[in-house]
Amino acid sequence: MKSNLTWLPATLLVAVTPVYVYAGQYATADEAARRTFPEATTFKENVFQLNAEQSRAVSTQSELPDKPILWRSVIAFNAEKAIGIVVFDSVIGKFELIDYAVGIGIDGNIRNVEILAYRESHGYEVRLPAWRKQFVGKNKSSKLRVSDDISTISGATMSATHITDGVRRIVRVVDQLKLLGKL
Amino acid sequence: MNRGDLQTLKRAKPLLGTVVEISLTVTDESAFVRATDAAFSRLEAIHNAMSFHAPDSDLSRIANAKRGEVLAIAADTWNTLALALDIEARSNGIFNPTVAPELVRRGLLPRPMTPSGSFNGTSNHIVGRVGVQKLNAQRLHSECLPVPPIQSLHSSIALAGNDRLRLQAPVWIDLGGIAKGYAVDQAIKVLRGFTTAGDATSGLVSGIVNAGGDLAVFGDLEHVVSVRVPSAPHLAMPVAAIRELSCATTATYFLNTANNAEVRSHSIEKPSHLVDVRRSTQGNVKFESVSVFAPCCAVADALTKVVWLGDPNSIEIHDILQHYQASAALINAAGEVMRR
Repeated sequence: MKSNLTWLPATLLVAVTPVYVYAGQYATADEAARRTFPEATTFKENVFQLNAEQSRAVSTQSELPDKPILWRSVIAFNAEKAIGIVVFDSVIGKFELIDYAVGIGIDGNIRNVEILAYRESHGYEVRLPAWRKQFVGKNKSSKLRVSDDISTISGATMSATHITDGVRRIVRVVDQLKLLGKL
Repeated sequence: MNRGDLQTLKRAKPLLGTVVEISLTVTDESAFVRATDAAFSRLEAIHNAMSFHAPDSDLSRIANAKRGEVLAIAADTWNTLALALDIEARSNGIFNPTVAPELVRRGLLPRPMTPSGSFNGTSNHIVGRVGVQKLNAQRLHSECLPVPPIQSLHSSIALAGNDRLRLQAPVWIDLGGIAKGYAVDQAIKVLRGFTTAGDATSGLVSGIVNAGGDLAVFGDLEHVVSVRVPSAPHLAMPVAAIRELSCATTATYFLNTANNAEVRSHSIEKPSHLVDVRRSTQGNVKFESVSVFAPCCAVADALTKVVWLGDPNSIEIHDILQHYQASAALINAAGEVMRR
C-alpha cells in the first residue's frame, strides 16, 4: 500500500474558544482483568483498606506518600486457586486524570499495566481574556475542528511519571495483602 | 468480510516514558486483543533495551563501557544506532544523540551509574522520564560515572556485525525520541502481520500506534492527524490526512519556555530537551512546533529536531527531508502553518 499525505487547509482559532477535553476510554475493569489473566476461570471483587501501620510500610518501601484509600481490586482464580490480583487506581498527570489497572501474579511479578481511561482537560487558559484576545479576528471564516480523540494528535501528551509511581506503590500494597494472607 | 461489522477499539499502556495507545479497526475483540498483546510485548522489549534509566539497558552498558571495549547489544539498539548515525551524518551533525550529559545537567535524565549503583524495584518495568530527583538521591550512595564530553555519535561508537559495537570514546547516548519512533515502527510491523493483507482471517483492517505524539497509521484507511496549537495546547488543529505514514512533533509548549504567560504559569517547570550542539539558529523563521511526516516514524522524530535546530529555508533541510521522503509542518505562535 502506498504512503499518502494530503495537507489540509490551515485553520485558525475563532474568537470564542470553547474548552476542549480529550478523552480516551480504553478498557473496562473487567476487560483489563481478563486480558491480564486469560487463564483465570473466575474473578472475585475485593475492596480493601490497609491499616495505618501497613500504609506506612508501603510508603517507606515505595518512597511515595501514603495513599490511605479503599483499594479496588479483583482476585483472579483458576479453579479454586488464586493466581493473581488486579488493582485499580487513578492518578493525576500534568493536565489529566488517568485510571489504570495493575495486574500482579501470585509470584509477585507484574503481569500487566493497562490504562482504563484518560481525560485531559485544559480549562485555565480560555478563562483569561488576554489569552483569548490573541485569536480575535485572525480568521473568522475558518473554524477550528477539534478531535475528541487523542489517537491522531501528534505532539507531547501524557507523561507516564505518575503511573510509574503508582505502580511502584501498588506492588508494595499487594505485598502487604500477601503478608496478611489475604492473597 | 463485511465492512459493516467493523469497530474501532483502543488500548493503552504506560511505556517508553509515555502512554502508548494502539487503536485498531477490527471485526472482533479477540482479534484486537491478540494483535495488541503481540505489539505491546514488542514495545516492552524495545523499551527495556533502550531505556537510559534502566541500569541493565544497552545504553547504560554503553555509558559504563571503556574505550576500545566491544559490547554485544540488542538488534533493536543496533538498528536504532545505525539510523541515528545515518541521520547524524546527513544532517551534518545537527542531529546528535550524544547530548545526554547536557540533559542530565538540565535534570531531564538521571546520571548513569556503575552497575553496583543500580536500583531495584519494579521501576524497570515502565521506567520513563521518571522521578529523576528521587532516583538521583537514591543513587548518591553509588558511584557516579564521570561525565563524558558531548562529541558526536560517529566519533564515539563503531557498529560491527549486526549485534555489536566498539566504543571509541566514552559516551552517554540518549536515544529518546528516535527510539520511541523506532518502537512505533516495530509495533506497526507486528500489527501488519495481523491485518487482512498478512492473514485473510485476521479481521484487522487498519490502525494507529501513538506513543505520546509519535504516531504511525497503517492499513487501508485514511486518518486525519492533528497537531496541538502551540499557544493553546488544549486545542489541536488538523494538519494532514495520511495513509501508511507516520508523524512526529517537537514543541516546547508544555515547558516554561512557552511564550504565553498564562500557559507558563500553569506549566510544570521543565527545561527544554532540545540541545543545539552546532549553536545554529532557527534562521529568520520563528515557530513553536515542528511536525514531520515520513514513512518511518524513527526518522520523523529525528527530523523534527533537525528542522527545529536548523534553518527550515536552507538547502540543507530541504535535501535531508527529500532524502527521507519527509515533509514538515511548522506552526508559529499565531497558529499559522508553514509547510516544507
